[in-house]
Amino acid sequence: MKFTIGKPDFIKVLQRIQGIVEKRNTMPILANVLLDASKGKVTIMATDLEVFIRDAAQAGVSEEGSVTVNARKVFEIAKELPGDQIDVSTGKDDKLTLKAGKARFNIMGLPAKEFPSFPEPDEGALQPIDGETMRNMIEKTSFAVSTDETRYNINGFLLEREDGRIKMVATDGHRLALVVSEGDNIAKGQKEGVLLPRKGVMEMKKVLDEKEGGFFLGISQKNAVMKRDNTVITVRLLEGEFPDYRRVIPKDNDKKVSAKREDLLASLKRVSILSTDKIKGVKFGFSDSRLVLSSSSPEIGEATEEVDINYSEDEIEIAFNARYFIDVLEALKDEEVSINLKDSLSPGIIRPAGGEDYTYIIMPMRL
Amino acid sequence: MRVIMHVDMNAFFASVEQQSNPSLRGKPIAVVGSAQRTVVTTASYEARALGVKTGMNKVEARRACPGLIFVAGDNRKYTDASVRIIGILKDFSPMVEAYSIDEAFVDITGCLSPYGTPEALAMAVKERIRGELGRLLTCSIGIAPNKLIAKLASDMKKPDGLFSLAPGEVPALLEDLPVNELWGIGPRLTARLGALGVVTCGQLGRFPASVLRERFGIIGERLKLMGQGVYDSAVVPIGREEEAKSVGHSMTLPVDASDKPVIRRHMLKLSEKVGARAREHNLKGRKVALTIRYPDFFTFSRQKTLAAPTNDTRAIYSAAAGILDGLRLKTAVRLLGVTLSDISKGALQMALFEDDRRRERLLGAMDGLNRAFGSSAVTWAALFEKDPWEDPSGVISPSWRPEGVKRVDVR
Repeated sequence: MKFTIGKPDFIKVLQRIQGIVEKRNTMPILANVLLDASKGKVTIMATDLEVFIRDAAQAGVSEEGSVTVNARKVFEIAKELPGDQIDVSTGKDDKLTLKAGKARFNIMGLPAKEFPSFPEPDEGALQPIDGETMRNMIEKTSFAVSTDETRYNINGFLLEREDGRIKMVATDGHRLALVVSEGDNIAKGQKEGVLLPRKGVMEMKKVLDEKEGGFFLGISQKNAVMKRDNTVITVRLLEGEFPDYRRVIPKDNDKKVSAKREDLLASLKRVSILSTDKIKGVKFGFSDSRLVLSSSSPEIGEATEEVDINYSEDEIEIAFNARYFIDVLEALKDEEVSINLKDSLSPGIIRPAGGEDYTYIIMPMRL
Repeated sequence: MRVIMHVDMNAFFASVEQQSNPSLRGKPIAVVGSAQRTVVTTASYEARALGVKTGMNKVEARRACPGLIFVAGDNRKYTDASVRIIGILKDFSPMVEAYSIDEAFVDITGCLSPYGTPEALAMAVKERIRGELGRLLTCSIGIAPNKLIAKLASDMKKPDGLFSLAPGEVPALLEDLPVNELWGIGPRLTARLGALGVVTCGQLGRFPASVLRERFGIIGERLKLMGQGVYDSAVVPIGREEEAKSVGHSMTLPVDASDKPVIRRHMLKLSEKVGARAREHNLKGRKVALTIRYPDFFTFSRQKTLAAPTNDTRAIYSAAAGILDGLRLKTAVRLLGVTLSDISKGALQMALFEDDRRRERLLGAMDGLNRAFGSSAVTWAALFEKDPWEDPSGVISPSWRPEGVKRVDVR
């Protein structure tokens, strides 16, 4: 294998796959990236066996071939090499040589044939969908996904179709985020929802953030595939049953509050400084047109702040983990938010004021 | 100046056995962890006189004392006795710190008036314990201005001793005392001090603090003070311990095990103990550690951080089992420990899903039943899939305490 590649192009594709590379070293080859040079481009691939990513960059290929090398090392080397061009070639024993200016690196590799094969997507299953819609849905739910490995059925996003619309749901067992969007291209052929793993979706979001162009999504029995430009990501769907989220959406929260999102967010961030480290408990006291936020930490001190709100029902005092509240206020862009409550031991609902396509539910803390 | 009393029960497990079984009285006996275990955990004074020592195996012990009677340990008996003794101590002073199953510190500074002197109070303590638990339950009591010296003093006369040290007598006692006699200075520290030429407490007390600080970090200065017999750590009464930093349990297996299902079953039992205790004190932890000791006493721990704090037995167990799965065991396992750390006050955040709330209620109900009817009245079915040779009792950790959540260390 032998090719010459522009340094910025090489760095960009190598950077994109770093998040996928297996760090736990259970199988040494999974710490590697596969480089394959043919027909005027270099295709690179990485996987942790749950998420597969493939990307490509233009290159002057003078000899076709492939090899795998340590993904982190080749990325670090490419970043530091001088000049704009890098000459890449393989010698005997799967050794990779990188040359630029007067610098020369030889790194040990492993044969390409030992690398897991990429699950090729069924081109027919790929449907064009609006990348911005997808990005928005991920942004408004991703913070609620559980990172608790033992709760594998909520370690990802539920994606489902309903009445020509698509829904994305995420929860960690204490709060839940649900977003609804127009467009039913997603999950075609799937009656029930599918569970997309967190890591794969976060990689997909990186691609949505960085790249332009049409975005395609396809879901098969076992995998979900996303494609934009040269980048293809395949993730294995999570098995397991997502909890019945419909049952936890309260129907009788009749204490309705509306507040300026940015004001509430700023106050909450200040007050939560003095809530105890691990459990960010903040007390919310709602009374006529007034919300009093308070927190205390036994060894440090206490804080209170008043926020103007629209509220005219009975007084209610409730405590929430401030982190859960801040997450949603940061994810929303709307000027006003509505908070619907029932009592101090029942879940609260947060929505953009006047909007029904986003629902966030937080379970309170005991006072 | 405070007056601190250290109460150390003499040959505790053996004395309890001799008290409850008259046929063992006056005879050399050795308590072993279980019928299958071979290491002597406690020997009676009759056996000690003939050379039987804690830590000997059965063969060595029998060689030293051919008429030795082996008794399989009964943890419930010892914990019951321990709880009663702590109760008696609390009648003398509210400041009782249960240090381990057979040792306690009592701050008697403000409690002397009915007795006149510390020694008279100590004699009354001995009398009460013997009166209520039986005449074989003797203890050695040390009285001193602080815990460090009190512990040293209780060691001076055994069995059934009483040794009192006034502040003025401390320097003379420490001058030629080897440093390893001090509470908290183990073989490794002794060796490192020895390398500096420090062998006795007198030398330690005179050693330049700057050098000690450089060698031993923040404990350096504390070591120097210990050498002078100065020790400012207070008696921490039950229920007023510092916020627990971890909740842990460990056990020596009835027989060494290399079979992973057997090891996992013991881990489940330990996880349940840890979970139940954390729930009882409304604590949750985010880190789970598994400790393993091989038969050669090589001991190591591996730790895992969870996404959210928990006190659910299942979550603790699955984290510990995950650690075990990632290990390649070199030999059989002698001791297992499960510890929950990175502790916060729990049960404040409510669960969103009914299934999770039901589970919390279920664990609560289990804990309630176990409190009312004895531990393991209701427990995990997997614990009953045991092999016929397995003994469910296990060995109590020497640092077990009758109350409180403070750390139970693996020894």
